[in-house]
Amino acid sequence: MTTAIEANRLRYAYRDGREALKGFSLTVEPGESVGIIGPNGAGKTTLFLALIGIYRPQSGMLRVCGRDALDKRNLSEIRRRAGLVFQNTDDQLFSASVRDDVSFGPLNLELDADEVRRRVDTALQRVDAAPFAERVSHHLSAGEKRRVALACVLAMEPEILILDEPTNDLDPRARRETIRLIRSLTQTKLIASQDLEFILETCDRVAVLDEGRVVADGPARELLADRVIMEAHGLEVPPSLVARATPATCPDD
Amino acid sequence: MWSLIDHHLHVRSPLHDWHATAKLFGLGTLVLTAAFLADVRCAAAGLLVGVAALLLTALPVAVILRRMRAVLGFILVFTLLLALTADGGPTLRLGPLAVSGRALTLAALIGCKVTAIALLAAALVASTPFAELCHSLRRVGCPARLVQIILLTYRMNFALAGETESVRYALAARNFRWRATRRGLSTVGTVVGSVLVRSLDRADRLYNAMLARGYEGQIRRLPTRGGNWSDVAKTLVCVAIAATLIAAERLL
Repeated sequence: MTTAIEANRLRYAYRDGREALKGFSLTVEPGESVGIIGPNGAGKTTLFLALIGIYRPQSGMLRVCGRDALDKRNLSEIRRRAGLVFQNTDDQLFSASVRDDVSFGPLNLELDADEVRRRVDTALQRVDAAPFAERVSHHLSAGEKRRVALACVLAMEPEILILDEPTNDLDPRARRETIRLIRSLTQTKLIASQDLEFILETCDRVAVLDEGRVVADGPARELLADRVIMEAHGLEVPPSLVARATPATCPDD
Repeated sequence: MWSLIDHHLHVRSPLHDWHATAKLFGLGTLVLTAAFLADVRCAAAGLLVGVAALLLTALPVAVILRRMRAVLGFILVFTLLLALTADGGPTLRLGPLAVSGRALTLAALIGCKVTAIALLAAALVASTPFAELCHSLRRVGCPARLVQIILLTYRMNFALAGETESVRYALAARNFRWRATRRGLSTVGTVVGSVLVRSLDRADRLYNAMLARGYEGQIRRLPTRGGNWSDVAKTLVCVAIAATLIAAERLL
């Protein structure tokens, strides 16, 4: 089976010379659910935009669903197979109605109208957004927008789901529903979040990203409980794991 | 008038039930006819048609007037200025002001035409989902790029308004009060710059989101319901009214 994501020594620098990815390497197998955690500015969003070919790394190797993501000719196919839900839903929803927004992606796949309708209805039902399908996207609440943003990507039926801070702006109930929904999705998932309890509930594996490279990678429960690694990279052990966390190394020891 | 967009789509009326493209064609014909009328009586008749169209949307008159007050106010001021400044020999003196018969006729003609056009446009906008209206524009031959710009401008207006509001709150939270001083002007300049830069960033992120979902230069849309005989009949009524106005002008 083809590896879902294979990145090796990826380097990406912005136009002002600031390096966001400094030799990033990671392999994700199909069906895995991987949490990408790290401090602000670690390069999580840059990585996600590079995965779908919006940012073009200057060097390294990147394959998504077996296709070279650095080759322009593959971008259309990669964006069909890997769907990104953006951190800020307002950036993602731009159409005049929810239905238009959700159908935007499938229509770009040049599917016939009946298939697009089926996908839109299925995606909206999946995220419980069917009741407001005809409403104007920018009039929705934060939680509703989040669900519609997810429906926009689910309607493309991607093999890989990439979620950037999916619990941003959500109240506890909406957050709980998002956890339930994400756990029910069978696709390969790559999730970036500062909400480590959420990562713990939705991911089997975690990679810690700091200064543009993976500094730790392992099973979610073990890595998130490692106080040394977490604190060295500006993170904290999630409250539910505090009791079993490894003690921090004291500088005086 | 901006606030008429997408706010009254729940209303049931003959205009709301009219197929968007047929409606655009019918009301568009009336708008063009009103624009070319040169006789003040026919322009007044055009104005009545505009009022009738807006009443047919079944929206409360008070709501319509409130939402159109800026447009109607502008037309009123413009018409008054025209009446007071156009040449034609003074016939009526009101203190220092002189109004000529020709100027009055011209002001009435322009006022009626512009108001008729504004009312017809309001009827169209208030009774049609904005996205559908844009796609109808495309169907009647408007360039695709222009339609995309209109659609995205509409969306970005809300984003810009949101950014402006959050900056305004941030200023108010720190007790900023607008005064025409050097510091006040400098603050407002900085804020306007910041809102524009943020909007540019937002536009970039929006474009990235579109690319992520396979955008390649064209916004596609699911086909809506086709037109029926009732839609055609409504359009034909508009064309007949337009033809009557043109014929009346030739006869008068």
